[in-house]
Formats: sequence, structure tokens, C-alpha cells
Amino acid sequence: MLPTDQLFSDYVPVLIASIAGFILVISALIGSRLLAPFSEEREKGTTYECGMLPLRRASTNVGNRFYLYGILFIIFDVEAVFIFPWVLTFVGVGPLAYWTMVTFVAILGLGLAYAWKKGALQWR
Amino acid sequence: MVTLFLLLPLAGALLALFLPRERELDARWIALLFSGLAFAVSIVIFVTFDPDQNGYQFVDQFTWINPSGAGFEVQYFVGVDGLSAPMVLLLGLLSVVAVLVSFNIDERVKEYFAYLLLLETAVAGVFLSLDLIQFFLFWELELLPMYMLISIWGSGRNRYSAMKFLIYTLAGSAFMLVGFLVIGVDAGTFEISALTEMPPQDALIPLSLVFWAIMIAFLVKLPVFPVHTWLPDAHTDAPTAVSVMLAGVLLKMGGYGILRIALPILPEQAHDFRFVLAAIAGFSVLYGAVITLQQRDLKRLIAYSSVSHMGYVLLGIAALGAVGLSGAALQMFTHGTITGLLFVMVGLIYERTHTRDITSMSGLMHRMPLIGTVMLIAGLASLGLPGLSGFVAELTIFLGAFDAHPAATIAGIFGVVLAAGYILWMVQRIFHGPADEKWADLKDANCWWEHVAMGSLVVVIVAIGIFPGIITDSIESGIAPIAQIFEANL
Amino acid sequence: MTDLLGNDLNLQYELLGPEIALVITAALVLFADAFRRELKIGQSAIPAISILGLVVALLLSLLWIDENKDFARLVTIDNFTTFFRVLFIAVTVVVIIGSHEYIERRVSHLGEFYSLLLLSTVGAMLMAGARDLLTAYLAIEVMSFSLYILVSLAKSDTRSGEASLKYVLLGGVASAMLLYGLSFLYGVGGSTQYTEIAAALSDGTSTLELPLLLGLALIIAGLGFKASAVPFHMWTPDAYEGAPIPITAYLSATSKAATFALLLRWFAGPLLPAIDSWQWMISVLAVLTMVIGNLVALQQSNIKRLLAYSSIGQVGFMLMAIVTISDQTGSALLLHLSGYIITNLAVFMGVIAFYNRTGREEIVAFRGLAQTNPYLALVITAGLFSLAGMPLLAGFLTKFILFQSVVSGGYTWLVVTALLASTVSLYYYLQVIRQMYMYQPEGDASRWRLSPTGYLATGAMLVGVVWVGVYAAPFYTAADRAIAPLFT
Repeated sequence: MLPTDQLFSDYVPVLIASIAGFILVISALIGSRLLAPFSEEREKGTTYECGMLPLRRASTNVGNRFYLYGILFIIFDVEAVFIFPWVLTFVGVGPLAYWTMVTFVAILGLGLAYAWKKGALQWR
Repeated sequence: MVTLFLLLPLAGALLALFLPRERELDARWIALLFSGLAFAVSIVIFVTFDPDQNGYQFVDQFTWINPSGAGFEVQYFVGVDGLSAPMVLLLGLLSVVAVLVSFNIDERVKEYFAYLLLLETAVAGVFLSLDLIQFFLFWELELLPMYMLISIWGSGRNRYSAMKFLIYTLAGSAFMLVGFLVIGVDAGTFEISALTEMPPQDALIPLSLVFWAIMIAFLVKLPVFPVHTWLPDAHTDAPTAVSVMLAGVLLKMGGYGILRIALPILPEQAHDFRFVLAAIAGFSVLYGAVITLQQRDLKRLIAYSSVSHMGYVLLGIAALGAVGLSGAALQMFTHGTITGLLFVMVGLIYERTHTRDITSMSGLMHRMPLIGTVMLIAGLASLGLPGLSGFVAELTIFLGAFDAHPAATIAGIFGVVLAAGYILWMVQRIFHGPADEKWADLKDANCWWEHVAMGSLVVVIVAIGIFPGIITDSIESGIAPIAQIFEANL
Repeated sequence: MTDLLGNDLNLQYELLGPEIALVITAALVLFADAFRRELKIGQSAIPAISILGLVVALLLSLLWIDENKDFARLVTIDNFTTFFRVLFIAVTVVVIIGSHEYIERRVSHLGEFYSLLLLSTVGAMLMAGARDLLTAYLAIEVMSFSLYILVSLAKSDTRSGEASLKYVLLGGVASAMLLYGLSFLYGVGGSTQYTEIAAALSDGTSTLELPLLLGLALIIAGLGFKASAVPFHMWTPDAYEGAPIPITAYLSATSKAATFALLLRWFAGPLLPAIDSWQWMISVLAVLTMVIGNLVALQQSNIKRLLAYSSIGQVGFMLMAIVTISDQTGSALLLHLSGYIITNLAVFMGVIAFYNRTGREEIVAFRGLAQTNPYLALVITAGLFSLAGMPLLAGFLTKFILFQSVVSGGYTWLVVTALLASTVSLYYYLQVIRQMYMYQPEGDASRWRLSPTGYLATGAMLVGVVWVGVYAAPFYTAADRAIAPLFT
């Protein structure tokens, strides 16, 4: 554990790094403004300089079922996030870790079953 | 014994509440029976009470709330001494009278009598409690039936008046509770007798603040200027029986509280502030009397006269001597009977004429000689005619207070002169003068309950006027220990 | 089993028996409802299963009376936890019994309703038991997330969605502030364990005054939101008004009590050494809360909003106990909390029964209730009088003991304010009582009865209100034993 007094002094490198970062970015921006050549054409203002012209407005309605799929997808994505570190400690911890993960996956599975029953997977 | 007195009205209230709707009118008889029984018990308590014995009698006591580790306990602790015995008797008597004058109530009868009996229990609890918290509990409990009685069965601006009454009393009692808590936390007990023996010397906040925190509740209830404004409203809009209870016993709770709690527990502070109290008292007497003179509403007139008369109680208390304190206690009892009777009479008159405007009445003596006569007796007692009970009490107060507070006492004596003025003027305007045609078909008091209600109070007023010893023996034994505190130490 | 720092971990899963039982019940309820047609079970089976699970959880939590153990250094199982477990389970049981009719008729998604109710009870129980900042935070979120959804479940009431949205947004802000505050506390104390933070703060190794102060301010603001203390109370009236009434009752009981359980754990434990830094903040909060809550309540015309503001006012009284925290005020607070919950549930069960019949919730709708249903009027009156602190009812006694303990803690001026505020409160409670007793009923004046479960719930609460008011000794003993582990 860290002695509490040092807590903030440990972050001094971070502070220096971020100040240095700011200076770098700002000097690069100013430098390009001073040095780079600029051309003023209509093409410059379009979304894509080459390729198709975009049709309609950028903000369009998305089917609201899409979000449901999105959420379900994220849930199982997050499951993976938990499973990867689990793999690393699995051997050391033993059967407890195994059953813990089984419970976790089972809960998610039940959730999927519930969502299925409620018709969340039906594209209507 | 005293617990019986406490529980009888409550039992009556519950019984009345559970009457079937068809037999609603029987609630009257239940109320009469139970208040009558309670009155009988109060007579037994008063008669068997032994004035020569020190301390409380008929004591019932057990621990009620005893939170471990909190360093205090609350008891159920009731009993009577010379101070509360007459109050119990007064309460028993006036409750019967209040039930009798309510016999013509015809709206929501069950509830009405249930509240009336609950009121009796609550006030009895205040007079009998010997534990500060229990005292406070009954003090608050009394508000509920009063609020309901005034706002449901009252007339005029009844809801406004009921709310005003409630807010005044609650604001006062909030301070009182703070005072009690500070004292109790400091002393580790809420028992009044223990606190009397060992008055608190030092507390979390200055004791003079504690004294006023407690006094404010009692002064509101008494009431004295400037916290009296709820009283005329409450009286005017309350039904007759409630006015009787209000003037007869509820106002006495204030004076009783000062005598029972404020003086014995905080004697030094009472001594320090005795001139303030006397000044308030003297001013209240005069102010009340002057305002009374201007009233045209019969009920308001008597209500303001109560402010003036309760000023005498405070005057007697401010004297802090045996005579003055006895006078104050006696004044509480006699004012209870006299003003109770006055309100009964006003109720009877209002029932017949349907107006309380003094100027519109004239020559009623021709139509109702009995009512007129009794009203006159009550009025004379109220202005302190020798031979009636008011005289004894006021004389005792003046004798006791003159040395200590000459100026306030002179103001008080001048108040008596004004009282003679407003009472006699009122009687003259209402009962004498030419008989008005519009009152031609009015009847005199003709129901048995009206007769009983008037008669019993008249008997008590006359009896005490002639033999004050019946009451004063008991009162003096109750006052003696309080007076001793002041004579011994200060 | 040890953790990364080498501490021994106690993994007795039976310590979490009640929570596990409730989670399983919640899942069962959810699936029973989803497969109701296939399983051929009626609607009333859902609350029955929930109550069965709650009873099992209650019995399981009673196993741990007078024990003092911890689960994996994350959850403490002592008398304090047991007290709140029993309290929360009891509240949920009462809410379900008193309002299943209402729920069947006016709540969309029955299964989700019951299952989320059980889950939020689990969250509340863990809030009382947590002994680690992150566990506590997760418990808060479990309870809050369930409640966010529950608030939105009123059928065909647009206010419900609005209330839920407001609650989610403000609740999210509050959680963020709380979490930020907790991160400061972690920085100052060097650990998320309560005991280690307390040790770090009390032995003077920490000299970080400013971060501590910032952390405390953020934590108090975050918890102030959850407890709806002024000035963080804005969501309360809207959420209370829009939510289905059983959820309003539940919000005012469990969510409040759980927050106070957490406050007690934190301010009597890890934060006690820093008492000089937070005492004034909480006392300011307490005064503001009781004064403004009670004053604004005066103007309300909807019974749910009125009760919302009244509950804000009550929070002010309870915060006084945190200001003068000690074993005495602590047990007084627990007593007051249980008395308040019983009282509040009495009122809410009455209001639910009334709403079932009339579908109205304005205060004027209560006109003449004393004549159309004297029993219900009596229940509501007893509850309101008890909230106002009238003698012989729960509210008086518990408030009295609370005030007494605050006075002996040396904060007389707080008690004076509280008494004045509670005098004001009687005024608005009386407005409701007046409508019931002093006016004639409008329209249909015939008598009506409650359903059997309505009688059961209201009757039990009425008995509770009188019982606590007259003979509180068992409750006081329980509160005393519950608070003891916090101060040893």
C-alpha cells in the first residue's frame, strides 16, 4: 500500500508528461498553420474529397430493436472481458473459480432465455 | 383509584364509539353514566384525601419506557396531592355539566361524546401526572379532541379558530418539551418529586432559558397578554360544552403547570423573574378588562373576562408566598366553576335567541326569569361579590401579592372595579330594559338537564363563598411544600 | 483462500443466505411470469412465490442473530445487518400484501415488478452489511437501478415515465458524485475497507486535509440525493408522484432506511475520526431539510407529493442523529427509523386501498372518508398523527427518544428547530384529516369495504403504530443490540 503522503507526488511524472504533450500538440498545430500550403476549393468543404456525395441527412432514425440487439451484444462482450482474466488465474485458484464462472455464465444464459421468451430476438 | 378516574371516561369514549348507528342517541346516556361515575370517583378521592399527610396519595406507579443505556426512564406515575385534588374534583364536576349541556347535540352524536370523554381523560392525565414526560403526553393528547370538537361542532369561523388554538398550543408545547428534555437529560430523571427535591443547578443551556421555554407553554394556555389571542376565537366558535370545558378546566392546566412544575423545579429562576411575571399579570388583568368592556358578542365578552381573571392567577403566583399561591390555586378552582356557569348560561341563551349580539337583546328577564337569575348569580360571583366564591379567591391573591408587587396588585384591584362594570352592564343590557316583542315566545330553562347543570354549579359557588374551608384546607396542604421552597431559600 | 494482499478470506456462502434466497426467488418469479401460459399458473401465484421467498430469507437471516462474521472481507454479518435485513424483508412483505390488487390492475409487467422489488431489497440489505466502499457502492446501484425501472412501471400514466427519467438522471449524477467522493476517500485512507480507512484517519498518518474535505462533501452530497435531503431533494416529489403507489411506499421506507444504514456504517465507522470535518455539514443539511421539507409540504394538494415532502422533513430529523452520532443516538435513530417505516407504511397502505376504490390521489378526494369508510379513515389518521408525533402513537415515542438523545449529545438548538418544524408538520397532516372528518363525501356516499389483504396490511400497520407508541421496549432492545457492533 502507498503511504498516503506520497500519493500525489507519484503523479508528478504524469503531470510533466501531459504538459509536454500539450506543448507538442500546440506547437505542431501552429507549425503546420505557418508552414503548410493551403488551397481554397469547393471540394475541400465536402464530406468526402473523393468518392460518392452523401445522400440525405447524417442523422436518421434507427429501428428501435437495434438497441436491444446492441445491449444483448454488449452483455456478451462484457462477459468475454471477464472471462479473459479469469483464464489467467483459473489454474491457481482451483475449482472455486470454475464454479464461480459457471454461475456467472448461467446467470447470463438465463437472461438470454428470458430475453428470447419476451421476444427480444424476434425481428418484426 | 386515580387510574380509575383516568380510565373511566376513556372506557366511556370507546363504548360510545362502538354503538350501532340506530342507537346513536344512547351515546348521551353512556357519556352521562361514565362522566357521572368519574365524578363520583373524584368526590371519593377529594373526600378521602387527607390534607394532614405529606406527599402524594392514591399513587399508582410503574416503569413504562426504560431504554437500556439511555440513562433515563419514563414512568407511569399518577397520584394526587393538595394541589391536584381540587382540580380533579373540578374536572369531574364540569365534565358532567359539559355532558348535560350537550344533550341537544344531534349531529354525529357518537363521535361528539367520544371526543368529549377523551378530553376528560386527557385533562385528568395532565392533573394527575407526576412524571414530566407523561405530563407532556397528556398535554398534547388534549389537543386532538379539542381540535375536533371545535372544528366539527363549532360555529362561525370554527376551522380557523380550531387551527389557531392548535398552533398556539403546539408552538408553546414544543418549547416545553425542549425544556423538559434539557432538565431530564441533566438530572437523569423525569420524576417531578425527585426534580423538586434536587432542583437542577446547571444544564446544557442557561436555566433561565429553560424556565421561559417551559413557562411559554403555560402562559399560552393560561392565557395572558400577549399570547391570549387564540382564546376569544376558540371560545366564540366552540359549542357550549367545549367552552365550558375550555374555560373551566383547560385554562387551569396552565396555572396548574406553573404551580406543579415551573415553580418547584426552577425556583431560583422563578424568583429572578417574579417582577416580569407580576408585570405581565397586572397588564393582563387591566388589558383583559378594558377589552371586555368593548365587546358586543356575549361569548367574546366572557372569553376576554377570562383573560383578565387568569391574570389574577399569575399575580398570585408571582407573589411566591404561601398566601398568594393558595389564592392562585383557589382562583383557578372558583374561576372554573364561575366561568363554566357563565358559559352554560350563554349557551342556554344562544340556544333560544340564536344570537350572541348583546345590543340586539333586551328585557330577557321577562321571558326567562330563571336563566336571568342564575346568570346574575354567576356574574356577581365573577365580579367578586362577598359571599360567593370569587371574592374569597381574589381577596386571598391581593393579600398575598400586595407586599411583593404593590403596583401590579393595585392594577388588579382596579381590574375588579372594571369587572363590576362590564358584568353589570352586560346583565343590564340583556336582561333588563323593555321586553322586546321579537323575544315574546322564548321559553325559560325547562329541561331537567339544564336545571341540573345550572343548579350544581350554583351550589358549589355559593358553598365555597360561605365555607371556603372545604377547598382551602386541601389547597393549603398542597401549596405548603412549594411555598416552603421559597421561604427557606430565597 | 486468500486475496492478493494475503488476507485470509472467509467464504462461508451461507452467510449470504438471505440475499441468495432472494436472488433465486427473483429469478423464479421472472420466469414463472414469462412462462405463465406454459406452466398454467394464475396471476396470484407470482406474489405468493415472492412472499414465500421472502419468508425463507427472513428465517435465514434470523440464523445470524448475535453473530459477528464477515464474508470475504466484503460484507459484515452482525446484529446491525440482521436488524436491517429483517426490516427490509418485512417492508417488502407488507408492500406486497397490501398492494397486490393495485399491482395487478395498474402495473404493467407483473413479473418484472416483483422480481425487481426483490432485487432492490437485496441491494438494500447489502448496503446495510457492506464493509467495503466498492461493495457498498455496488449495493447502492443494485437497489437504485431496480428502483429506476420500478418507478416507470405505472400503467397508462405519463407521469410515471417522466418520474423515472428524472430519477435516473439525477440518481446517475448522485452516483457519480458519490463515486468521485469515494475515490478521494480511497486516496486519503489507502484502502476501500472501512476498518482500514478508520485506522488511517485516526492514527494521524494522513495529512491530506483538502482531499478529505472534498471527498466528504461529495459523499454527503451523493448520499443526500439518495436520502432526499435538501438541497438534493428535487427528484423526490416527482418520483413519488409518478411512481406506482406501492413503489412510492417502498421508496419512502426501504430506500431511505438503506441510505441511513449506510450513513450509520460510514459515519460511525471509517469517517468517525474525521467528525470535525463533517459534523457541521450534516447539521446544516439537517436544518435545511427539516425546515424546507416541512414548509413546502404546506402547499401540496396531491397526497403523494405531500407525503414526499413530509418524508423529506422526516429525513431532517433523522440526520440530527448522525450529527451527534454515538451508540445512544444510533439506537435512537434505528428505533425512529423503524417507527417511521411502520407509520409511513400505515399511511401508504391506507392510500393504496383508497386509490384502489376511487382512483384518485388529490387531498380533496379524501372528503368524507370518515363516513364512507371509518376504518380506513382511522388508519390514515393514526398514521398521519403518528408522523406528526402525537402521543401514544409510534411517532411520538420514537421522536421523543431521538430528540432526547440529540439533546444529550449537546445539540439543543437542533432539537428546538426540529420541534418547531414538527409543529408546522402537524398543520399539513391535519389538512388531510380535516378532509376526512369535517366534510361530507362528494358523490357516492355509500359505505364500502376493503379486500381481505387490504384489511390485513392496514390492520397490521395500525397495530404496529399503536404498539410502538405504547410499548416500545422490544423495539428498543432490538435497536440497542443492532447498534452495539458499530461502537465496539
